[in-house]
Amino acid sequence: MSLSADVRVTRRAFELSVQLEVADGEVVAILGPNGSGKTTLVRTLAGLESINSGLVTIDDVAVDDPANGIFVVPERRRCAVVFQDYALFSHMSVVENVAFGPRSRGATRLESRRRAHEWLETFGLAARGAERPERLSGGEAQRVALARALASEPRLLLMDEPLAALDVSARSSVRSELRRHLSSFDGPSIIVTHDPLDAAAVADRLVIIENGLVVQHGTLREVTSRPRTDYVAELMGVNLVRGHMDGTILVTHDGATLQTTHDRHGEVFAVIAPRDVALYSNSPGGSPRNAWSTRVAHIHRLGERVRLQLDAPLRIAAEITEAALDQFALVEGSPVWASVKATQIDVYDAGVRDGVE
Amino acid sequence: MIAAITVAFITIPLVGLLSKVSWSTLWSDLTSTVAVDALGLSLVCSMWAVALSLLFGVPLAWILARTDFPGRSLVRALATLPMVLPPVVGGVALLLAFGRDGVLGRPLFSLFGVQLTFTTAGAVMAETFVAMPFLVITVEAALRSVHPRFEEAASTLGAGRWTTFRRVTLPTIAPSLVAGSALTWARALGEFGATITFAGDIQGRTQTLPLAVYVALEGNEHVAIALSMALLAISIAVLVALRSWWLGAIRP
Repeated sequence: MSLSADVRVTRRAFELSVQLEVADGEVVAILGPNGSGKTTLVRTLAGLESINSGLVTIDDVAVDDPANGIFVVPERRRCAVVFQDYALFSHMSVVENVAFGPRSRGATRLESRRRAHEWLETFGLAARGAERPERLSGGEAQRVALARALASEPRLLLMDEPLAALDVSARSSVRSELRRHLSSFDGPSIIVTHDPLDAAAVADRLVIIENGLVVQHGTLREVTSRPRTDYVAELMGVNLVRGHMDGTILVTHDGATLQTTHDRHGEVFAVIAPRDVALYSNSPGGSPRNAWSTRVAHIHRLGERVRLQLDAPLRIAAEITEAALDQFALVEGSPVWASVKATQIDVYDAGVRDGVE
Repeated sequence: MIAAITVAFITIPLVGLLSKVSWSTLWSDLTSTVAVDALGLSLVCSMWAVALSLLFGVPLAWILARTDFPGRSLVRALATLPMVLPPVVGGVALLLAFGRDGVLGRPLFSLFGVQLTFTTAGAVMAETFVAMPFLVITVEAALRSVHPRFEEAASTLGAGRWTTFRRVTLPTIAPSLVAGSALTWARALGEFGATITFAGDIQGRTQTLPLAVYVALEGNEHVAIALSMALLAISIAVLVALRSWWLGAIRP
């Protein structure tokens, strides 16, 4: 393991306690809502803030070890940071920005410029070297920031919301490029984001932080299929239902009952994809046994799909097409019948927090 | 109406000054020994004052803007005090501290034979004392407006404190550094009260332009007016330069 971090930080009422290991060449995405401690985590790893207790090692060398009085300052830590707004030096040209790292680490002026030109070439920015940063597009500025970070030959690469400043059109192309450029970096990388699409496109593994704690981690598929908090479920766009089982019947905490194809005993989580929730104007009868009468609480349009938040007894979301919405003539408050097939309810134990050490 | 009175109040004395200029003797007045001595001395002293203000004022501004320590607001108040203090009081204070019988002046003289009163160094000190706050205030404001993120980015790229300050912080605040220096220089050039109290009025040694004007008014009015014209021209030049500089800094 190339980065091993046990970060414990106390700031007034806020506490951060995160354990994290990232291997060489691995890209880990840190996801979490605002105020969950993502930025503080990045700042402590970079040495811009110190931890109160715990231990951070890079390549098995301690860089922050309060118990032994060790704290390596940022300029000696070799952790490059790509900041959210890139923080490019506006009084320097693009090539001077990229040459800043090598120059600061002792390379000659000529040698640093040569290396900077190489990086710019790799990033397809060879023609932009003489420009001032303010003349760059958002995507170009992002690439310059990454080139500048990598040119300083870091042992750890940290990116704090590197795509947040881009507009939607630039975002998807920059995202796939970022993946490609990161694959050329052989140290550990950490990308902080609140967008699961960024994480999916760029990262090998996800770590989800809420209120200063890791609530879940694993591959994208593991996290998507087994969400453990409402935030993760919402991030992945699925319904998370908590309940109790004694056999194949799930009794939710709200008192609704659902037939499943799983045989479990004890506290469970169940995941239902919104598009697996079928809606009818009248009682469907017949085969689906999980059918109930409810009302539409909220209507939320997502392009051609429409998400309907259902009211009691089971407050989950259903997703239908725009056409279906018009056909049913549904508005907020409309009565509706909902049903879910037993085979489309995925159930897993709530007790064992798999994926969380 | 009130604005018109205000404008008149400012312009009438200037017109009065211009109307009294004896244009035929202006050049010979400006090149008289008293005038040349005063002009040269003023240039030297005010430049020194700016240099010393930069040397000591910039680090102070950095500390005020970037660090947090108990008593920081007290230090800031002290640093800006000379701006509101009557200069003559500053002169008296300097005299009591660095004069021949002063708290520091006495050991300085008895141990090293250094005397500051009635010397050019004293005039420089008096000007620096009065003018430095202009630099500290301007630079501190500029430093506060620079996001520490740029300095943080530099440090994560491997730049130590000094490299970061020299290559990132200083260039970012360069416009304010120039503006602050110009203000400081203008203030130092016009310094009267502290200089005459602490350094005295010795032609060629401590008699700066304002002092020369004041003395010349007593019998050599032509010279006084000519020197006033020179100071007025310099003030206008500073104002114009600062204005275009500021506009230039805003419009890249």
